[in-house]
Amino acid sequence: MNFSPIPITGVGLVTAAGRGVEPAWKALCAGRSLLALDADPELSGFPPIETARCARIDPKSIGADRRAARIMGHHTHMLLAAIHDVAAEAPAAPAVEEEEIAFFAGMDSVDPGKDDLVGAVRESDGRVDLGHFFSEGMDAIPPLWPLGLLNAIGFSQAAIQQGWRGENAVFSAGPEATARAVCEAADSVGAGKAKHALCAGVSGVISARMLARAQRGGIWPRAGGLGEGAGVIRFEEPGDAGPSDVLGWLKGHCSVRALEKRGGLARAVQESARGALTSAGLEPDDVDLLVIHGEGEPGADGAEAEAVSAVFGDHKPWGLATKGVFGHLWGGSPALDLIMAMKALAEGAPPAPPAAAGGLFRDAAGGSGRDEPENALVLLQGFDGVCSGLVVGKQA
Amino acid sequence: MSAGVFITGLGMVTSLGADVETCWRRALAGESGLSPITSFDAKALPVAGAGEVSEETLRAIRERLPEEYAGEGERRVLFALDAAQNAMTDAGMRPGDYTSERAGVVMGTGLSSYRLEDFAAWADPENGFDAARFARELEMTQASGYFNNPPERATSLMAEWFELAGPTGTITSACAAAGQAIGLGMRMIRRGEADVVLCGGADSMIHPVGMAIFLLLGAASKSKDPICRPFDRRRSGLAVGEGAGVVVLESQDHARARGAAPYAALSGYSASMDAHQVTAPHPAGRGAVRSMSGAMEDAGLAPDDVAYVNAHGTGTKLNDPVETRAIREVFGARADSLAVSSSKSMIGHLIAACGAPEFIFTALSVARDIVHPTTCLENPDPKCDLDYVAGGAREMPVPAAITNSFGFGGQNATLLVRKAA
Repeated sequence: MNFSPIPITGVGLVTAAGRGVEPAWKALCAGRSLLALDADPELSGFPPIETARCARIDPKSIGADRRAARIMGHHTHMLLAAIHDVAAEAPAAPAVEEEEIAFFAGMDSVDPGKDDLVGAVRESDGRVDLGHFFSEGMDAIPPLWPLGLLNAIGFSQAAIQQGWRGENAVFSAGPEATARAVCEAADSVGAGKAKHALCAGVSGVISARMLARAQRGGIWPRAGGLGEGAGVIRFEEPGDAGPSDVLGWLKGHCSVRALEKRGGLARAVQESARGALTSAGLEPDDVDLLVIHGEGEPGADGAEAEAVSAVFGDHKPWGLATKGVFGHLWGGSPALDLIMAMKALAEGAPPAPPAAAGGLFRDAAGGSGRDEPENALVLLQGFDGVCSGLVVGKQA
Repeated sequence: MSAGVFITGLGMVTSLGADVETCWRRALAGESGLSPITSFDAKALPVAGAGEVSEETLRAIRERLPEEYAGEGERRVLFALDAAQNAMTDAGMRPGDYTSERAGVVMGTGLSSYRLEDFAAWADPENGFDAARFARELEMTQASGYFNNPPERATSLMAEWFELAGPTGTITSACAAAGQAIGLGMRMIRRGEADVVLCGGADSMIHPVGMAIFLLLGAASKSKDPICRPFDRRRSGLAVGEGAGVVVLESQDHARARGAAPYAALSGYSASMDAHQVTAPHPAGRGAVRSMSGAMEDAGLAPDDVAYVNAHGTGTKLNDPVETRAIREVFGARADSLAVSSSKSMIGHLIAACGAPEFIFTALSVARDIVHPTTCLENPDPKCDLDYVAGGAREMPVPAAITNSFGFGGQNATLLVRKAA
């Protein structure tokens, strides 16, 4: 698959470091982990966990009116805040029709509050009495409660607020969802279906129910902490974006699912990396910066290291990993990693490589490649073994 | 004109049956799959029935699935796997035949299955939910509930079973999810990211919390009879259905190279957003107009090329007149000679999955030049003034057709199917 580069003209980011790219970049450069042992009593029955939570966001600061705010939770607030910041910091061309603005998102599931529905089953003494539930218990549920559980409703609220009426889809859940949203957003512009396309990645909100489904799904506890956050990237039609508006270019992408019969996770990481580079028309030696998934789980990290060695051989790009600072943002992580990759390219000086990367990367003593980074490859591992590679560059 | 991608395999599970030909035959006969709920004690539920897949059918599905998948706890996952197996078999493909990064999976699915038991078992009458005890007893959570069934589960299992290593996606765009999944499957093939994509949707909201959700939102019909009356003056809301639809999409070159005979071609897709209100469609159907006209533009067809519209047709007060108005705006004078019908009148609203079986019915209409009726349409609403194929199936030339899926929240999708060249 050949991919025509699509310009990126705006980004918005919400992390535990605060709102915006700069606080996150500073934390990354300082190597200062934002993870801390979570003391929330709600999580007391789970194994100890380090988290990097986002500060609560005032709905008024993101333009949410009182009526809309009734069905918004922190999940939607993070999404709207990141969108709000894209629009505020890099306004899009006003001449674009609303129908020509596409919107895609990868969103983690919204978990009900721990006490939701308890009122509806309170009289049941641990057993479920459906007669009671349908005749009386259901009255204890707020009528709009279901809307708050749908990540697509938070997505729609953002579209309503911004007046976006074009191509769209909500993908769930985890990193592969947002990687897919990036591809589809870029493709909607590349295929002429939209002039602008917004792509968001949103993490879940850390709670007992989130940890419960993660634990049952086998995606936690693993080494490393969990974070909250959201990131938004805006693509524009190449002809619409002036040179000074362009923050970077999406140049290629590829997703491959790990199957044991085909060599498992390590091969899937390799194939996604090679596929992304092929779609970008680049060779491994053209990659100056590698943003690794690096989630801290030995099996996943080992497969990634094996794949990186196989793809890059003696070529040692700069390395970058975000999860030691921000935790794993699941659906938010691809957006964070992509935005940090673009920032590193723009700064020309990536932060120190991940300490545990064991010689895979260029270090202060030097290495191969250009002095100024031009291209970055972002590697992602999703739930159930979906691996993705995304290529961004300073130039098309 | 876009030649589109070929539809080479079909599989579905609905309340009308667990295979395509049975569902199609019964739909053409105008049979209702709506009946009183039997999967839980629904005596106190103020809803007369639903489009429920029978326990007998569910047992048969478990029996024919491989052992490692037959024990899956969630109904929608079982429906998806069974429909996928049927679609692959129909396309002449077996697990492992096409182990490649050039073959992908995209599925639409819905809100997780929240089980009352997962709240009740740890509900402390004095202090609310006992989160600490809950955390220690997670193995007691319901196998059919959301803790054990992430949204991407059906997608992952389908890819694993059929060894499809290519691009993947799970879409949760409410009732537009399956339509978008099929549309994005087509896009993956068009842009050269894949040669084959298994796509569709699966959902089941026929459980106590699911039914409560549609009652709370005022969308479910409280009719005394288990019926759904799209476009009728007496329509009173949707009937919830459950099931799955899965199709095999292939590039034309790939299908021809292996000698696969297509049912039809998927030639156009468009999605839009109302950006109006989360609880009501745009009153002028702005998003619906965009998605329908966009699908025709995408296919390079004009309104006169389209003969049939498989409508979203929910039977709710708000949807049906808005959809009718939008069809009139898009098709102009052609609207009066279009055949329009609602599959939901027979199988109910499959929520996130609805676009998949409706797409299959649309593809069969194009392939076989016959359209199914809208049932229970006895007193047409004056605001719903199109030809809704009441009274029985209609044999007619169907060179091209569209199918609509409009989601709660305002996400819309339209797919356009035409005869395979």
